[in-house]
Amino acid sequence: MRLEDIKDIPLVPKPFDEIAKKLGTKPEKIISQISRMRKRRFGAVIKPDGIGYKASALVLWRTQNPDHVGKEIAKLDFVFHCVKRPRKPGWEWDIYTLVIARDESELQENIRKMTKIAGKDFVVLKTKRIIKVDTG
Amino acid sequence: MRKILPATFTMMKYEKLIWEVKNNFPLTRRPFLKIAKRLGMKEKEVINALKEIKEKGGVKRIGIVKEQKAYLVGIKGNVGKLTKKLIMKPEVTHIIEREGSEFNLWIVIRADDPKSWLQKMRLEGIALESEKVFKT
Repeated sequence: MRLEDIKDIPLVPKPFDEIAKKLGTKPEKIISQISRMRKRRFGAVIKPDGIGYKASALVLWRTQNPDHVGKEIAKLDFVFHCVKRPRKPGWEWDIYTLVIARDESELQENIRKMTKIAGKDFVVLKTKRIIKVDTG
Repeated sequence: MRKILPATFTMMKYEKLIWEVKNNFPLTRRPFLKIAKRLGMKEKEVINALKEIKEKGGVKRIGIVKEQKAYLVGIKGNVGKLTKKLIMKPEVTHIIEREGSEFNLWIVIRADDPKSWLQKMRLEGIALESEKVFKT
């Protein structure tokens, strides 16, 4: 087992101790290695509809300051993903956010909250049907 | 919503717990104790709640999550036909039907060259690379 393979820690009081035992190393070492990882995060993979969030939309934003806007709106809990993508001719959006909510009215309310940070230049691509999601 | 809530849980605590394990997971020897303290709960309550949420499919796993530098691709066409063509492809990780733009099907692909991939698949669409990931 390599560090990369820590896909699902056991739900016990000292999960890293258990993993360390398997790897033949110390828990502190595992923890510090995970903390130093780049291009990775450590945490839960959530399935929104499994926690009662039935509504979602991909909301695209056009802004003068995508780095600032992206960083700030990513802090909102209901912003599930937040990515900056380069503009294309005829498709000039900067920030792509997946916004989740329990229902339609909460979704609208969440988007309204985002406009305070990201401005009013946006388009909502509402989720009609989730056909495949393979998060590994 | 009610039926997926673990017993004895208020909605607020439940949501806070989910966001803590997703966005703010403490890398320490006893992570669930730390989360419990933040939420004014007991370690055992946190562990049991997570077990229950996991069983019900809200949390898929807790571990290392790679930043996917994948392409988001918008395509247009008959959803049924496109789904048939794409669903078994391992490089296609997401297929979602969305309304609100000229593209009605949005997919995420892992490919080095999305343009030639689209050509090979005989699809017309817009491929958007990720430039910066603020939240995954």
